[in-house]
Amino acid sequence: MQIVSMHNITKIFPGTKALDSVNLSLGEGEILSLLGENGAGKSTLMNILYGIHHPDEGEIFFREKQVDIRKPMDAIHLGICMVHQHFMLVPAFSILDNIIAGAEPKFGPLIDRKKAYDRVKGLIDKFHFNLDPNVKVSELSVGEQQRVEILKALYRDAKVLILDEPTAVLTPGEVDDLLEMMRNLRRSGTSIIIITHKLRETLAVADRIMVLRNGVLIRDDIKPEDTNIEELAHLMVGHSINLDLHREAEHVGEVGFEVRDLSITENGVQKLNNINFKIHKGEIVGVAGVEGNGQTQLLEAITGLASPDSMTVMLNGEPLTGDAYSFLHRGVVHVPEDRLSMGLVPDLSLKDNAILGHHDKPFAAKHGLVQKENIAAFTEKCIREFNVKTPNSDVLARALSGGNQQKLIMARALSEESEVLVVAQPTRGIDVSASEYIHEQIFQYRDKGKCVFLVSADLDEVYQMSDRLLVLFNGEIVLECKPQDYTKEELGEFMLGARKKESIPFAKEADD
Amino acid sequence: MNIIQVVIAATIRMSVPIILGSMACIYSSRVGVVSFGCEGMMATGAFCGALAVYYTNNLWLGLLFAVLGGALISLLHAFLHVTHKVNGTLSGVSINLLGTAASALVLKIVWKSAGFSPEYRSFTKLSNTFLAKIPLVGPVLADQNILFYIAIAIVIVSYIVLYKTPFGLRLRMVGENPVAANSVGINTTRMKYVGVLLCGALAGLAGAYLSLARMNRFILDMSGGRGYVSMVIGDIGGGNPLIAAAISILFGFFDCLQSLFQSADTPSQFWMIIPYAFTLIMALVNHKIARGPAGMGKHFDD
Amino acid sequence: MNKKKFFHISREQWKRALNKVMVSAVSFIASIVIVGIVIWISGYSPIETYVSMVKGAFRSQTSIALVFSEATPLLFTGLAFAIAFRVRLVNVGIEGQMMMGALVGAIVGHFVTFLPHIPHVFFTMLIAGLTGMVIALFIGFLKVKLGANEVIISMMLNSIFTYIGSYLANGPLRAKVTGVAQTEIIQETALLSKLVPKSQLTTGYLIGLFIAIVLAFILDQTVLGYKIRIAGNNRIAGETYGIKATKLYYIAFMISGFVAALGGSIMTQGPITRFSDGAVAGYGFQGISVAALGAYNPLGVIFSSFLYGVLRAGSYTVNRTTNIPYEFVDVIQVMVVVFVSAPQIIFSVKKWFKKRKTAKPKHLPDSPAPAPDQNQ
Repeated sequence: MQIVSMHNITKIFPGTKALDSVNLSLGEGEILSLLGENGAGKSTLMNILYGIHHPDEGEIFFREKQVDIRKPMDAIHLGICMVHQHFMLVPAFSILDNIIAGAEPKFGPLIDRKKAYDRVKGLIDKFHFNLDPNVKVSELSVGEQQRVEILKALYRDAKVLILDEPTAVLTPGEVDDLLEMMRNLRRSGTSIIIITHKLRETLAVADRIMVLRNGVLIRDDIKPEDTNIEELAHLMVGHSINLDLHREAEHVGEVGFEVRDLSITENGVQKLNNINFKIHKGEIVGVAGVEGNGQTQLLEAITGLASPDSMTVMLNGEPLTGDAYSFLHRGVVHVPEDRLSMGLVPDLSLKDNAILGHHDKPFAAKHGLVQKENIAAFTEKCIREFNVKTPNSDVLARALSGGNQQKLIMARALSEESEVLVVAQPTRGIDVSASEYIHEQIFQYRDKGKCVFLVSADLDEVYQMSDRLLVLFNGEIVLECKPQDYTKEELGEFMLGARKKESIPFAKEADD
Repeated sequence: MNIIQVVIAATIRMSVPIILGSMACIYSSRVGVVSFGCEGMMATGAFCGALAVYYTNNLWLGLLFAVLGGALISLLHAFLHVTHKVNGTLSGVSINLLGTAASALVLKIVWKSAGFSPEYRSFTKLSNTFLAKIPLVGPVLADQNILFYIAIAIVIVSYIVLYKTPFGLRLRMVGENPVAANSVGINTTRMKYVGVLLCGALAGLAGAYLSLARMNRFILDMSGGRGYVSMVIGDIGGGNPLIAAAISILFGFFDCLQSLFQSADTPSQFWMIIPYAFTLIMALVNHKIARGPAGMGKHFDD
Repeated sequence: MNKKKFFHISREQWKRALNKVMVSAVSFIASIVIVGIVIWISGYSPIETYVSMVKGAFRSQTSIALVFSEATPLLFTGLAFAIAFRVRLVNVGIEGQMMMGALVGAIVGHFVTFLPHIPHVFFTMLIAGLTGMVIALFIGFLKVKLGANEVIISMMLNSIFTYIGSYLANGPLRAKVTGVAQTEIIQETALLSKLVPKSQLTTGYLIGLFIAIVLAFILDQTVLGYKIRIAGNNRIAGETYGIKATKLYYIAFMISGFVAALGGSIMTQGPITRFSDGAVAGYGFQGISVAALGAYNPLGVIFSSFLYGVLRAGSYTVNRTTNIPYEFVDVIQVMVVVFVSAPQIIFSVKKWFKKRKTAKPKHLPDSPAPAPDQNQ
């Protein structure tokens, strides 16, 4: 019997069709793996099942009865529970309190802790979770915290468990434990949907695999025993290789920007491990990779925002050290990944935003006084040259559309003399014409003989834009290549960890 | 009573409003709402209690009105901070100013007097009860009024409510992680309102102690920074009512030293500084000792 | 400098300024109305009260001078609060900083005897201002380095300073001849000149205006002002582009403390002439309301302090002629803070009224469109 089936689910977000008539069915005691790239629609589909989003079209059946899930509590009452990628736990509480909060067994007006303990302990023993319910969550490893999240769901009699990227934060050993736990759960009749891009684990544990791409269901009948990693990677990334958009670098000069021995550890987890790369003048180096593999840390390190465990940066052969200010003023300009929180001050005018980072350059400030005419002229120039659509330069930045905000940030970065452009997610969430415009500007900047470092979660974008590609997986560069030497499918394999490092270290081929 | 008994009795007397105040602040900060407004809620409670007793001559009605007054003004705080997401500090400070300004105005209108009300009945010490006959601690216990025992009861009840009941668990969860609380079906907005209202009610009771027990009249600014003291003590106790009550008694000791030495040769101002200096030092070491709720000031939909 | 361009204000800026003025005006009116209701409940005519207040305030040259002299301390504390709030710091310490300024002004004004008039005036103000600056810097240090809560620290320091001042006024610095606890009158060389004879209005008000213009200039025309704007609006974006928020916390605290203490000293060097217990008490807290009504803008603060000056001066008249206490002005001031910080309250009341008027249709136009229901 099908426990859950979703029919013709369509969800439209402003500007994009996140899901286009997608069907999903899940049997009792089945482990279904939902595969897809970033933005393929996996999370949207699961958020619909969990009541966070409401579909524009389509129907959901639970045990063959049509249901209307409008909020997470509706889903929980049905027995559909979700373990989020970011855990919903209170570190200061004990495991027991975390699990029972919101559904406490009562003894008169008090919590029946004895009953709760027995129940939780019973679940822990049954599924071999190996936890002590009285320990505080703050003392647990990430893997153990995840078990607490799963326990929370089991405690609420979950029939269907949705795991969102459950292995993204785990060590290899913990991953094995998790897979074993999932098999135990299946044995007891719990159905599981696992959202992931990790192919090995999918193959190891899933009963059936479903692939989404750009909001469309590609296949939902793949049996792990009949497939392999290569096939899955191809299905996920698709066959649309479009290199037409790429413009060959006109003139690649000497090394302009170089990063050596970059390592970062956060809370005991190695986020970046010995990263080395060089960017030649007139070259775009792109970073491909699934989000959360160290991109954010890499960006923060090479723009001076974070202080890594170790790093040497050379700009035009000279060492570059210091904070964000020094990096900026030595010519490393930054287009940050989060437009609204890092890139702009939404409640200030375009003029104020346009000179952010340039605010003490001679044109903007003389003797500590702001040069309003110059700033106005500079802002006008930014608006004109980058085709920012705005009534004037005094409106607030929040009044602009996302595309125009991004154009303004690009304009700000490129309108002043600089050496290196570090640009992250340049076209995330913006329309096609603005994207094309921004890409064109990046090419033009490169062709002036400058270095460009591009990070994007959109593989197509990195693939089309880059003259050279780095693939980041688990905080390491697993591949360094020219895009044309590899197909997108092959890159997908590297990004997903299906293939390991095989390139010659760049150092040997450098300075040619 | 010997000198030790006198000091202990005075210490306890001084600490009662702080005990109640810190309980108030605990409820507020446990739901992640900064409890700056406690000072104003105390002042309002003190005033409403005084007004009610003056007109009805009934001390219990006085307590009731103090609690209602504190709760009413805390509702404004909740409305500003929880519903309209006004900066919690600014909203709390406005509440404090409003508490003082409104009492001053009504004081003038009702009693035609600047600064203090006429005298009225107040809670008396339990000197003639069986308590006085208990050896050793008897004189100390009998030197208190009924509000001390109410405060003790509230501390114990608060401890049980916070740590032993579903309500308390949910309350604490909202303060620690409103997003997580929301995800398990807890209405965080309602919880925050409940926490702030409880804070107002208890702060009102603390105010009532000042105007109905410690004194037999209302004096403007009689809360004298006790709301802030309560807030620091509530925080430093890590939100645990028992620890907060113990620290309140320590504060009461310093406050009592201050009043004991006032008559001595040294200038009284030095002694009056003691409780504030104590609080200041507490505030400085606070975050080294206790960790506030992780979700302070956060809303589930941020 | 080209004057026309220098003061150029674009349409957008006008619109935003107008919007802020609207919020302040509506908040002020709402507060007046609410307090009017209280006055009405206590058996007086609110309209008569307000009319006699305004009349009282503009009755004569002396009463107009009173308006400005009442506005003087509010101008300083309003500016002090506003500048700190620009980086989202709530500096309630201005109460204590102003008091210390008044005290130091009294000390320097009395004990320094070798300076001629003008230098003595400025020297006194400078030392007082620096005292406030150091205190505020200390609070900023405790906040930034120790992570302590600036409001608690400030409140406790306010109390401690009050007792220190009280001790000095009662003890070592107590004036010989008077029976009251107050210091000696300061030297005449340290006194500010009167703007209107026989009034309490001194050139201190002009100094306040000057400071307001300087602050407005700093905020609008300097890189420091730009950084304050950025850090106050989006700290993360600022840090991403090399603007360190903590440094600006220090600077804003220092300016705030300086201005507050300067205000205290100007009170000592003006109408009060000596330091006593509670001489400048309460102005610091009122500064919060002045700043809020002035939309945290130095030029706005000039107007809001004037408006409160009218209220205060007028309330004395009302207090003399009727039984309505002047404390109602305090309530108006607090209500203003409430409304300015959450103007949504007024708008939601407005919406509520509108809804009641048009309560017939079941789905209001502003309620979200009902999503398609799967069950039907």
